[in-house]
Amino acid sequence: MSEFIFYALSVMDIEKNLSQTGHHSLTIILPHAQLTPHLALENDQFEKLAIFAWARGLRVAVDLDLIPDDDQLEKIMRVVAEILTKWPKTIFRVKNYGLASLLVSYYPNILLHLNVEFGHHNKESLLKLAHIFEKNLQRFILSIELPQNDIAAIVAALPSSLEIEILLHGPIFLFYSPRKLLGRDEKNEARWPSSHLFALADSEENAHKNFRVYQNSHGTILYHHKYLSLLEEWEKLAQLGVTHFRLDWREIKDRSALYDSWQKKEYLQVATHTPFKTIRGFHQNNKSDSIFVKLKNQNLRRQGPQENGRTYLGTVMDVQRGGHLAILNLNSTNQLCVGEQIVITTPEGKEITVKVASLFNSRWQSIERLAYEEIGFINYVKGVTTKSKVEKV
Amino acid sequence: MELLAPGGSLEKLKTAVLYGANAVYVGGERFGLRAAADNFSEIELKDGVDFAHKHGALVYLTLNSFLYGEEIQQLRDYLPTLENIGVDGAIVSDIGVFEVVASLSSLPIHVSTQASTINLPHVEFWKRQGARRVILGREVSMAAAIEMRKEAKIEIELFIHGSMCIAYSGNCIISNFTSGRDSNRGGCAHSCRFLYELSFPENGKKEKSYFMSSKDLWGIAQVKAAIEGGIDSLKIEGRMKSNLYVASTTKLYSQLVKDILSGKLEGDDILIKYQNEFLKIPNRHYCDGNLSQYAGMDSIYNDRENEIKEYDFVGVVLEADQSDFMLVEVRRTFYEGDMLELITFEGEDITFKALHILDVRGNRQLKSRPGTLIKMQKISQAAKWNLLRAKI
Ligand code: SF4
Repeated sequence: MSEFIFYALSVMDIEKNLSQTGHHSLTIILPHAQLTPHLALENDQFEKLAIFAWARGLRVAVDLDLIPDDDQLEKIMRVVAEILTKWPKTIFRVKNYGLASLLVSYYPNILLHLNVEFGHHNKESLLKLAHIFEKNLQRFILSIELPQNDIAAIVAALPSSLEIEILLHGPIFLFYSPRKLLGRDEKNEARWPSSHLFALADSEENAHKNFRVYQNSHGTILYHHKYLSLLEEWEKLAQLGVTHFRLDWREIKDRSALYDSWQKKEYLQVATHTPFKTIRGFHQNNKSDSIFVKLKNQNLRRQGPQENGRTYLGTVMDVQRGGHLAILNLNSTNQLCVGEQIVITTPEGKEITVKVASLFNSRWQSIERLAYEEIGFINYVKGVTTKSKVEKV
Repeated sequence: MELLAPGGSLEKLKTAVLYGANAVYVGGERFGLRAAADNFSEIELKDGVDFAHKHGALVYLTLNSFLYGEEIQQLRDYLPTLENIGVDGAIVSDIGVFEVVASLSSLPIHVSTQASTINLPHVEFWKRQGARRVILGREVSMAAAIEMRKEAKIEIELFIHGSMCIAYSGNCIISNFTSGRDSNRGGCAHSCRFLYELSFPENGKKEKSYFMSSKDLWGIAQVKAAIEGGIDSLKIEGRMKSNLYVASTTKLYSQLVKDILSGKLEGDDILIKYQNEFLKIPNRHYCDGNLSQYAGMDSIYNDRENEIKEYDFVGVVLEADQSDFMLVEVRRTFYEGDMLELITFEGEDITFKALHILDVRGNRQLKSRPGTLIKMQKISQAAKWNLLRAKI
């Protein structure tokens, strides 16, 4: 059965969640300001809402998605201890494996949701993590970069007892820095301003528009100007085996209307009440690394004899029209000898086969062979330019 | 202690080794970040490994992309080749990749900085998985790194120099959503270097700023502590950087380590001797990142988008053993009479005037042309593969 999971920043969020018929979540996420860089509750608000949620039969999950150093770990563990003393069944949604390991060693029965949003796009990773965290692991929170086919492959490989969560509707989290990047401390250039700050960052560069930037004690985070929305897709994703769908409306002041539309399954209305445009991200396809095949000049790529039947020799370093070509031998196991045939491939891909009739050194003395890392000169070959690749047939 | 330099191409690998690196890290054509770099085909990798080993240096291969489903199978097929080639370690960030490399090869595994390991339990986590080495995140101080080395008893590698990602490594996907280029697969479009207009709705203030652009890291003042604290490897960033950068940074750190080990230089003398030399290398102003304390406001490079560049890479010495000339491959134009610097493999660099520029047939040229070979007056200290630079 699919579950929809909401954040609570107020009593209203909890009440609205409880009033969802069919869409009601058994767990509510309470973000704690000392445990997450995202919008969160200060300690007293957290306590108030935790008491309220637990009293109404909801289970509380807490995001713990900081990347702490050892000093911060101590503080985090203090806050965790306080929470677990009061509410021992709290679930922690952890990103850092060091922290997850520490939690398990202190609290052997703790339940964890592992946040693998930045990376771990293959089933081998998740199987390994499932093996490591075993009985403590209840759920994976998958990356928003995963297209549906990869989600399906991952879900199919994981034990069915594990829950799988994805972001269904909410901000696209793009960047997390420990540095506090907004504003300047006028009095002391070396110090960060301590206050919470929010700004929109707009660049003239294509698509770098209206990033929402938040600064707080954990550093700076940045969201895309659009929201991710897979509202129309959730049933399909549920069929693939996604068990939990997260709706993150923390940035939206008037959430009440969103809940109402959501309850009525009026997804278009949800979109209308969202103050940001929405995209489906990489849901259909993720081709974000295909560009690099194009960037490399495949014509000059060094290949082995098993790839094209030739032996790479080196590169053309100098060309004098009607005069000479200079060749640098870069093959430590091969020499170029007078009488041998070579294929010269230009950067544009033109292949020219020539026989080496004579070879000269830089003093223009005739030589018989060109050894590794030596420069030799042969007669000019029309159409050849510097950087061309030289191979022996 | 190991000095680890970037080998963005076979040429850069050789440069790094000749200028004093004990090890280089390189990318294959697949699975490593810096996908746009001039990565190594298998045959180049073999050549690079042979060259490095011949000179007593090690080669680590980056497999630090976050891989998707079917790529894991391709990786399985690639591993025997890597073992045959003789690479000395694999740099990995994805735990699935870790698992595949660990189970199908005997390659030592180094956990990449992309895994953002910045606390002791995380280091211990990787040790339990069988990692040989952990490359710590750049958010760690030198003192904390030394402490982790002591407590976890696992090799620790730390970035000592170069450009810095201002996000926690692996925690920036701006390029993915703005340019369709995956920054965790080498496609970073450097969105953090752009100029932004910041609007603060709270007070209506607007300002233009390079607010996300980090100054470069230099750890000159921290090398001594690293050596004394047992840090296993100091890493220079920059597989995408120029040959000149590789040569000059590697040489300087190599020399610095030697100076410290020989007890020749102490305290401020180190800075005095080396600072000016480092300023000759293109940089976005330097800071020491988080090595001594948390990076502050003064770690932001708020001046402009590009690096400051005082010197340019103008050529490579290809023949230095002739009695009356040296043969030089020209990388950038310079003129007869220009002052050039020969970057020697060890010791002082040599400043000299380009007395004449001849083409290979001995005809006088007034200026050098990139992509050609020239003959210049012989400099007695020059060696094959030395680099030449000129003040801009
Ligand atoms: S854009 Fe900047 S912060 Fe983001 S991955 Fe690239 S270098 Fe790092």
